[in-house]
Parts: sequence; C-alpha cells; structure tokens
Amino acid sequence: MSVDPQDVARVASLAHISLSADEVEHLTGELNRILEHVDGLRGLELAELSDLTPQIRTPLPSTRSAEREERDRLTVTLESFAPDVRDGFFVVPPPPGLEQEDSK
Amino acid sequence: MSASQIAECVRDGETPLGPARSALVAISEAESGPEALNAFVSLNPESALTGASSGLLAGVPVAIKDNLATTDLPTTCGSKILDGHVFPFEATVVRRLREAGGVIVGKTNLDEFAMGSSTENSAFGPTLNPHDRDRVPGGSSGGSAAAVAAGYTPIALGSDTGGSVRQPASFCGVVGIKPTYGRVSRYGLVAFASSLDQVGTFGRTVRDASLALEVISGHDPRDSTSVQREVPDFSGAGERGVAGLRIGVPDEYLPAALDPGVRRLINEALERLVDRGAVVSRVSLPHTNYAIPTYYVLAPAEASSNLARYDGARFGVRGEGRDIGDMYRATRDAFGKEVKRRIMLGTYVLSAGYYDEYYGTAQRARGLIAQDFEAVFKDVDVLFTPTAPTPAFNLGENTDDPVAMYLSDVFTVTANLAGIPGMSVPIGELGGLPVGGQFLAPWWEEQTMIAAAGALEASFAEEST
Amino acid sequence: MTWEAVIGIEVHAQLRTARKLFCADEVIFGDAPNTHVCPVCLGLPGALPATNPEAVRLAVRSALSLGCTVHPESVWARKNYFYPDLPKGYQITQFDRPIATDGTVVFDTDDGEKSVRIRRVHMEEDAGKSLHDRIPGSTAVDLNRAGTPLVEIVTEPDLHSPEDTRAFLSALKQTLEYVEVSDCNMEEGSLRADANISLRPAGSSGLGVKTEIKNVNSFSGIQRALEIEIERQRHVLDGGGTIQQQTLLWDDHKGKVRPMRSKEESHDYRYFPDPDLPPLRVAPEAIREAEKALPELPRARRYRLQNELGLAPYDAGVLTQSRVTADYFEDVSAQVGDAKVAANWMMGPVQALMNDRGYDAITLPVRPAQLADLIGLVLDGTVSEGGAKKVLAAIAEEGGEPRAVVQAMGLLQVRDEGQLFSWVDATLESHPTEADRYRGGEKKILGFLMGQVMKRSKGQADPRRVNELLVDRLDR
Repeated sequence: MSVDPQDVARVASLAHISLSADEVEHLTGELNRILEHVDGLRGLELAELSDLTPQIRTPLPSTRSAEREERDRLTVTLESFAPDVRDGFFVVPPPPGLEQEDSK
Repeated sequence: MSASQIAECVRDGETPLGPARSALVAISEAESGPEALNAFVSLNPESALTGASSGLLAGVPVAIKDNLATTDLPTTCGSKILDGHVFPFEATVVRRLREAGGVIVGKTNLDEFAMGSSTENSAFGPTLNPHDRDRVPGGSSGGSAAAVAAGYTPIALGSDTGGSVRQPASFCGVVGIKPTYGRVSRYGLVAFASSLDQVGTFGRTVRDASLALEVISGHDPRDSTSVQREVPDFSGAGERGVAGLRIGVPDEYLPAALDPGVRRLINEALERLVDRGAVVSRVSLPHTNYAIPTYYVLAPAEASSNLARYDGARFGVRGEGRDIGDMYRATRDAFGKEVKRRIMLGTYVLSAGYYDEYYGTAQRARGLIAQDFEAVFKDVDVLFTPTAPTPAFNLGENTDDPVAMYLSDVFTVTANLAGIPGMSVPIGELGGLPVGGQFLAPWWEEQTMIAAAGALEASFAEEST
Repeated sequence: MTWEAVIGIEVHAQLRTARKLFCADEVIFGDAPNTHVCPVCLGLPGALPATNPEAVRLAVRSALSLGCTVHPESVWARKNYFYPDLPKGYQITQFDRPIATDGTVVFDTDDGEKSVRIRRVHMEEDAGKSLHDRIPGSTAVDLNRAGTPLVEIVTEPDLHSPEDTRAFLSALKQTLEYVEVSDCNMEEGSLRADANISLRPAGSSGLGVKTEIKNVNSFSGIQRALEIEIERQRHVLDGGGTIQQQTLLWDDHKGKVRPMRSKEESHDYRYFPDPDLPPLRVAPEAIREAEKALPELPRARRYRLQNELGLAPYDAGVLTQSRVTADYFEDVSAQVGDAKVAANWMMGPVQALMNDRGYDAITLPVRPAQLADLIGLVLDGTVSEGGAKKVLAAIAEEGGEPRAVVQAMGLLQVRDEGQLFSWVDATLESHPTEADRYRGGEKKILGFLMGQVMKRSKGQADPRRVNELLVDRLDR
C-alpha cells in the first residue's frame, strides 16, 4: 500500500496539521518507508479476536463505583489555564464561514 | 544514600526536607556548569518543597517525568504547545508519592509527548548521558534516567509505552521497571498510546526502583483500565533469590546480528543466575517479528486521537487564526517533527478504507504476541533478553532515520503490546557505556522479575567487595 | 409518477441521570457557563473517563422499553473530529457494537396501527454548546453540557409520511417518559431528532438518494420540514433531475430547509474502540430484572383501560397521555369503583381546574384519595356536582378533607323529603302558569321550574330528587 502526496494532504487536513509542499513530499516518503515496514502484517491469517485488550488478564470493572462520587472540583479558575475566557465562556475564533448548527 | 536509607533516617527523626534541599543544591550546581545534562525541564524552588516525616518514601527526593501532572510545577511534555502550562490537578501516582512522604524536586526532560527513543525530540533540547555527554540517555524518559544515574535523586518516575523506561535505564546504567498494564494508574499521565502506556520507576538499585513501584501501584477508580488487585511486596522481592527459578531466553531476542558484546554480557549474566540456582532454557516467541509493525500502527493511531485535544481552545499555547480552522493549524504547528509524523501516520491508518487493513490487523496481531508469552510462561517463570540492541548511540546519529530509531525498540515493545511487566537492570559495560539486561515476567508477577534482578544485582555487588 | 416517501429517524435523548456519563459533575440545565466542569469533561490532558452506572441502567431501560435486545457486552468507540464544543477532539460513543439492537415501536395513526423497527440504541456523551452570536466575531463555548449521557435511537426507514413521523415521535417520546429515562423536552434540548428522507417510485422496494434534515426542535417542525423536503425532491425528480446527498438545516423562523454548506461534509470519523474504557458489560440477570421492572407501557395501558375498564378510546388516550396522569386516574378509579365516572371527572372538572390554575399532573395539589372521596360524595348525593366543583377548587387552594370542606362551605345537599316537597310546592304555587304549560305538554318548562326550586333552596336542594318530585307533583 503506498501513500501519495494527495493522501498526505488529506490526512494533514483531517489532523489540522499544516504542511508546506516540501514537507508534504518529505512526509510522503517517510510514511511510505514506515508503511513498507508495516506491510509485513498484511497477509496474516488472523482469527477475529473479540477481546480488545488482550493484555488485561483480570476483568476490569465496567462502571465506576456508585458510592464514591467524588467530584474533582476545579480548585483554580478557568483563567488560570485558558487562553481566552470572557463572561465565563471559553472564547475561540469563529467557524470559517460555515452554516451554524449547534453541535451534534 | 538509597531511597530506603533516606526514608529510614527521616522516619527516625532527620528533617524531612533535608535530603531534598541537598539534592536541589547539587542539581543546581551541576546543571549550571559545563557538566550540565539538561535532565530537568523545571525545578521546584526550595521554598516550594513539601515532604513528610513518615511513609515509605519519607523525605526522599523524587524526579518526575514532565508528562505527569503536578500542580506546583508546569507539565510541558517536552513540547512548546504546553510550555509553562500548569495542570489544575495532580496525577494519582504523584499524589501517592507525596502521601508516602516523597519530595518532588523537579520535572524531567523527555522526548516530546513521550514519542522517541533518545530524548532528542524535546522542545527544550536533548538530555545528555551522564556516562558520555556525546551520547543520548535513551528515551523517552531520558531526563529521569539521567537524573538517577547522575545521582541527582535516588528515584524517579517515567513512562513506558514501547520501552521508554527500560531502554533509558539500560543506556544510563540504572534500574528501570515497567509494571503490568493496569497495575499503576494512568490518571494524570498525559496519554500517548492509551493501551500501551504505563508509569514506570527508576532507581539506582533494584530495591529503590521496586519501592517506588510499590508506592505508586494500586487500583484507581479514576482510571478505568486500572485493575483491582492487591499490591504485593515489591520492595522486598529483590531478596527472594532465584533457587529453582526457570529462566527462558527467547531465540528471537538473540538474533545472529546482535552485537557480540551485548551477547557476551547476556551470557555472563545468565551464568551468574545459574550459579545462584536458576535454570536456563531456550524458548521461542514466534510472532516477535510482527511486534514493531504492530506497535507502529497501534501507537501512532491512538496518539493521533489522544493529541487531538491540543487545539488551543481551552488550555496551552494558542496559535493565531482568523477562523477556528486557522487557529487549530497554527496552534498545532508548535508540535515537533516526530510528533507530527506520528499523528500523520496514526491518522492515516485509522482513516476510511484503511482501518481494517492496518488498525484491525494490528489489533489481531497483538493478540498473537500475547499468546506467545502465555504459552512460554507455562514452561518458564521469567524471560531474560537484552534491553536494547546496542549501548547508547551518539546524539544526532538516528535523528534523520525514523525507521532506524524505531528498530531500536525491538526488544521492548513486545511487553507493552502484551501488557506484561518488564524491567532493565545493569549487566555490565561496553566501551565504558552501560548495558542493560531485561527481565520479562508473566502478568501480575513483577515480584518474580524483581527477584531475578535482585539476585543479579547482588551477584555483581559481591564481586566488587 | 407517484412517489413514495421513505423516512428514517435518529433521536438523541438526554438521560435523566444526576451526573455525567464519564465524570462526577452534576447534570444541570441553565446554570452559569462552565460551572459544572472538571478535567475529564474539559478534555484536559491526563484526564480519563469512568462510566456512570446510573446512565447504563437508564440506557438499558430505554432500550427494553422499545422492545430491543440488550447485549451483555458492548464497546465504547471514539468518533474523531474537531469542533470547539468537543473538548477531547473526539466523542466517546458506540459504533460497531452498540448496547442494544432490533426493537419495535407500534403507534396509532388515522390510518390505523403502524410500526417502526428500531435498528439500534447506543450510548454516547453529549458535546458542549457553541454560541456564535454572543460575542461578535467569536464563538463562545460552554462545556456544562459536555459529557451528559445520551442515548441515540436509530430507526429503519419504515416511515412513509410526515404525519406518521410525527405520530411515531410522539409515541416514542411518550414511551421514554413512561419509563422515566428522559425529560424528552425538545425545547430544552433533552430530545433531538434528525430525519433522513428519500423518495422512490410507489410500489418499488429500492432506496433513493436520501437527504438529512437537522436542527428541528419540535414535532410540528419535523412534520413541516419533511413536507417541504418531500415536495422539493418530488419537484426535482419529476423534472428528471437527481437528488444530491446532503445535510439540510431547518430554519424554524423562515419555515424553510437550507443546505448546510460545509467543507467538512464528508467527515472521516476514524472510529476505533476507545482504549481508555473496557467493554461495557451488563449482566444477563440485570437485563432480565430490568425487563421485569418495566412499568406497563403507554399503548398496553391504554388498551387495558379500554378493554378492562370499558373506557372510550379517546378517553383512554387522554388519561394515559402521561404515566403520572394514568397512575393518578387508576388510583381514583379503583377507590371510586367506577372507571367511567372517574374518567368523566378527570377529563371534566379536574382538567378544567388544571387549565385554570396552571397545574399539571405532577403539581396538582389534590390527592387521588381526596378526589375519590369527593366523587363518592356526589354519587351518594351528599353534594351536587356543581357544589363539588367548588369544593374541588377549594381543596386545591387550601387542602382539607372533602366532607369537611363540603360542610364548611355549606354545600351539603338537602335531601330531606319534607323540605324538598315544601320547596317544590311553594314553587308550583308561585308559578301556576308555568305549571300549567308543563301539564299542557311543554315539557321543556321543567327546566325553568327546576331553576326556581334550586333558587328557593339556595342551590342546596338535591337536583335529581327535586326533578323527580316536581315531575311527580306536576303529573298529578
């Protein structure tokens, strides 16, 4: 499976990473070298494993314990770590001229 | 003095902050001179030191890898994107250390977001190997390994996703332990690859590293992947001895091309263990060669998702943008090359059309690797391998070749993929550079590998007396 | 060409838990922004999710109430995309292996009974809120809502008209309210619905290209939006054109749908199982227990009221509209011993009182026992119906036991025959003309005479008995 510069550009857009044309080319080469290596996995006849974390040999509790609803109250203000807070809201630049819909 | 010794003195009445103050003085002096190692990203001013006079680690100075959340010092993850950012909460392991009396002296340098094997990927410059300042300390927990090796602190915390505690321990000549996945809470460990990450410990001795592990281990309801299991006596396990212990040496970890010096040290270490009653046999882990490709699909995939939150919206350094897309891109431009490379790789293998081929396959291959260990541990109690194919390499040697860098993880990634515990212990030197041997134990049996490591350490110690 | 509409619905219902899905923050509507947030729902580095068992219980109950099969093991997945109200840069949801599948909702329409298959029910966390108009040139983000537990309910495309869609949604909402899993309030956002709509030649079985309609916040809105979109698609297809797959936003003010122009239209969500969470396990016994503990669902209850208690379909429908009302009604009915009488009272005077004073079934300050007693007093003639209505209002206002209030208000009906006769006779004496008119065949004049007797008795005469006595006297 080989990656072309268009793939790289599409992936960069998904990940919101900006790359110059040079970087796209360079990264295309690097990714291809890495993926060549990874191609060793293909053609593996593997049965479906239902256990997602095979390393967990002890069943994990699925839900948190109901009694201990300890809330990690923020003991600091939002302003102490947020780049832009106004009237209690996090403030960010607007969407790039898209139609607005209040989130999913 | 070792951590255990310091703790005993403090419990017996010595000033809890005394040892930490001395440590700070020594560190500041060393790090401001020509022998500076750049092991620390930040140091607590003396006035900010807090410690206790009771507890397993009473008064013990500790260094914390800078991807573990602390509330008194920033947590940068070695990245410009988190430069100066102080987290509003503390990692569970940090809290446990403090509750055991430990004194946090500073945050150590690392490869950015724990991605790397040399600590050269830090935005704050590389850390140098105390044994040879032209060489890397290993990574990604290079700062912690160097701090302990240089004697700055007796113990340090690191994190291990593909070998990031064990390999630097090997390169720096100290003990490094990665626990079973789920043994130690990841709450407050900035995630790189969630199903592989574990917090690990460094010490100059097996006992110190195990003591630190014992203190931080245990279920945490805030971490849904941490397991409800009693914490055994890790700190004392190093004295158990190895009489009758069955040690397996996997063929795949002693390939024909292995550095002959490393091979010799491994064999010598095995002889020492046999002298003390262990039984050695050759075993096979047939799917070992799938480990690197599997790791380099799964880890970047999880990382690409874990690092999506660095968008400049709610915390950290924000880049300028007229609209939000621009802001995201400008903010994330602050990621270093290796981080960007892995985010790209990870995003690609998860993207539409490639999921089954890459991610799906890698998850299934991972199961095979775990099964190899399961099978082998029916016949042996512990495995012994080199930790890394070579001693520490030179600064700049692998930075242009990501694949070469990735291949240096070949002996360590299998433990993360399977979730079994592993540790590195010094087994000698080649050309003045430390070499580590790795023990791998079955799930939940850290005590077994600690016992083997302790026996090996004792054997070396006897020799020098 | 006759076209058939094919409609599928995706509903998001907010679960009525005390706390969020993956952290211990409280779920509260309307408070100051970012006051119910913590490192987990803020998506701060190092924070990790821990699943709220109450949310799982409510999700299981939701799924069971829709007839679904609940799976003992399901998987949390990450849905990856960038948006300011999505703090982690991914939403924790369920993808390949949801908690429940294969249910059915049966509902009534003017054309009779219809049913819709539920393809799946899964759990996910809600995002925060982005406000684009609050600060000019910026977006303001409030993450109080981020992490609130939701169930997403997806139907098969089994609906074929906007009216049916609306009826289905009402039935779905009613069911979820009955099992108390959600407030189901579209205005407040605890219930959201998106529709997929395509057309196909009537009688064919394939599926045309569908469009998706989002941003609707009322059932009437969905109906209108669907009507408009069906018309639009019909127009395009009749003209020989083809439908573009796209997402449309409903604009309630303008009553129009418009395309959502978005570069991110074709999202690549890169779903993968969330490595921070083990598979969600619900014990099979817990599922069975939850099934047994389900209350009687609305439709079943309505039919029982019709069949066992003999209520008219309309009345049964009104009285089972909400579970609170239905519980209240059945309590009263059992105590009174006559379902029809109880029904008339509930739908008549009680409803009037509720409308008048703004009570609903939950806030009505009259207990079922009090109402039942009052009805009993009417049935045994202690108080007239008119009097009882006054008593009802008084009880709502100030409380009290019906009999005592009747007495205190001086509304005890007089049934003493002697007294009644004397009023009747006195009235007939004073109105001989009217009496004669009655005897002459004008039966309707009885009403006037009745009124006179009642007036003479200051409303306290038992009207039924008065009626009987009047007729008796007049017929002599």
